[in-house]
Amino acid sequence: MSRLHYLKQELYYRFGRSTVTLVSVSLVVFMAVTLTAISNASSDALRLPLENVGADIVVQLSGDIPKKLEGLVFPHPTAQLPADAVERIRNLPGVIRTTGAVFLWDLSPNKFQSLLGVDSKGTSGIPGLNSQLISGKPLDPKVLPVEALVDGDFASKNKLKAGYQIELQGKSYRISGTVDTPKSGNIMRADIYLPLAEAQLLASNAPWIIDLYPFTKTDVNLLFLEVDQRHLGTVTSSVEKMLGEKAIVSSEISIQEELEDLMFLSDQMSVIFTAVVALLALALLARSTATAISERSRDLAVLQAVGWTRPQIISQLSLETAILSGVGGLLGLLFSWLGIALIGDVELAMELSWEISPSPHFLPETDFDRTRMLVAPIQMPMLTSALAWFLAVLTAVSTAVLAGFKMVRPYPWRWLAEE
Amino acid sequence: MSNAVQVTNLSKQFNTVSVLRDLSFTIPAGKMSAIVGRSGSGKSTLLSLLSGLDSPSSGSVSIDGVELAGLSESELAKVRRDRIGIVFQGFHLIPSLDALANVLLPVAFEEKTKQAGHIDLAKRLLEEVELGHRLNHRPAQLSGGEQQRVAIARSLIHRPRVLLADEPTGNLDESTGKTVLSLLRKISQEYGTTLVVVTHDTEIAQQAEQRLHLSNGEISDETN
Repeated sequence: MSRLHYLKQELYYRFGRSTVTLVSVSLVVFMAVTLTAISNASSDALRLPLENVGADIVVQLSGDIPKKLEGLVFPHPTAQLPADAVERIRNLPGVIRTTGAVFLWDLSPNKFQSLLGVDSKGTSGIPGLNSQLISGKPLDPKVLPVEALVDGDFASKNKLKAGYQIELQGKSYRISGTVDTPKSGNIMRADIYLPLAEAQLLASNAPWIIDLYPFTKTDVNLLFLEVDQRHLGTVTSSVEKMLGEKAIVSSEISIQEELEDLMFLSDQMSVIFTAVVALLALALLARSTATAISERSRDLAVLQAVGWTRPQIISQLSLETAILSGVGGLLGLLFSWLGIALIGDVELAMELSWEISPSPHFLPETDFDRTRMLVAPIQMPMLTSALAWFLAVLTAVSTAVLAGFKMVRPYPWRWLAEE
Repeated sequence: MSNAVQVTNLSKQFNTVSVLRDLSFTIPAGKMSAIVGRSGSGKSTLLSLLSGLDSPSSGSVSIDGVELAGLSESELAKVRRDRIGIVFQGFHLIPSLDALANVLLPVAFEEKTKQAGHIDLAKRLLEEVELGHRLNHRPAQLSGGEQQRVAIARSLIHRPRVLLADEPTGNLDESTGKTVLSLLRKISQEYGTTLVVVTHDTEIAQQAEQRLHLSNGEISDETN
């Protein structure tokens, strides 16, 4: 008879007890993995608005309403960003890259269109736009006369296509191509895209902009920051401090704050909740393992009586528990995978803050619904899965070893003597 | 003739109660000895000390020339594995294992090369206790007498020098008890094993070559 034969017989014979341990381990792993997966998906959903922008932080400054809403204006209430502030932000520790932009609304009596001028550098710039070209040619800032890219939806709504002309402030631009902006994930969404210098030129000549700001051909009203994630919080607060009360700094943190009431589980809450549930499940597992071993006190004494040493008995118990909890853990992972597949997505309803929404919500004729469903798929968290499995097996085996040491006494006669 | 068991000034106390008092005796090798006494006389306690499953308050026990006092837990286990076989009144078989696996339990950790020989011996022992047809039955599927016969086979699988039996017929009816005892005698003689039986049954004691009468924790009489 081998040890494995004994092990197999024990697990089969004590089916009820084995099932309790299996279920306990499965529960630990299932809880930890599923809750973490939901929590991760919620966090991913919160990042979606900024993913479309393609930056970690978007910096704007709150400004004044133009006297007249006509022609090219800054989106209300965006103001010009002071050049010296832009330079200081660029040099903040943790800032990897910055991309300046000019965001404008073109308000004509019969139409509204948004315009974004971006430079050819950075992930939030022209390279990002060109990566999702639907038709036509990429936008090249060196091409003269200057060309424009248009959003695919805007193009189809207005029956525009590559090669057509579009007019802005009395100036005509050839459309080089159309782009699938939402898919580009690299730019704030607008209807029309121009090279930064051209947008700066237009803004610096727009009467209702220069009426409010001393905007020159080198200024911007929007700054995209790519930031080392470890410094996200400190950069955000530094920028807010630098620009004062009027700063509009959009980041994962600000969106998270905005969504706090809507959020199903905040990151901290989910960590605490997951930890508490996992601890309770681990305690249940430890208890069921210890109980299973204490039920066998007489058998363990018999093994001692026939010459098994304490290390041999404990190694047998550990092996049994390791196999049982290992299989239970795998079952837990399977159930988690099934559960995650069944739930599918996390959905959060959120009203986009106007500063990252492309349309002027205050216009009475605008029916733009700024409510956005943030949908993120729930995915199996591989690291957590491995950790949960390992932790569950470790807990079960450690408990088996401790219970074994407690139960396997040097002199086991009391378990063997007849009452 | 050499002694299989040597007990010197052995005492055992539980708290303030003295169960065994200053016992000294020897048991000759290859013979059957009976430790006789009424319930509560300390017979089973004496057997627990002889098997190293409990520790004495004072005195010493030597089994097959090995002094138990001072041995570590693992060394005591090795003495039991190599030199002592134990048969309990309550059989104490492992419920999850069939008869054959129960008999093989003491040698489960031995080298694989020896396993085939052990399996042959286990089957032969089960044949000898007339359970050759019950190899794959679990304890729950066996009668009390059959379970005790499996326990006897188990106690002999490693060819011990000393076989300790604690009221081996205590849980059996008279007829089955007689069969079990005669099997014990027959097999221990065949394997040259010293048989020490703890019993309150004078009829069983009569069959022993040596009888130690225990009363109030002391040997009141020794008959050879």
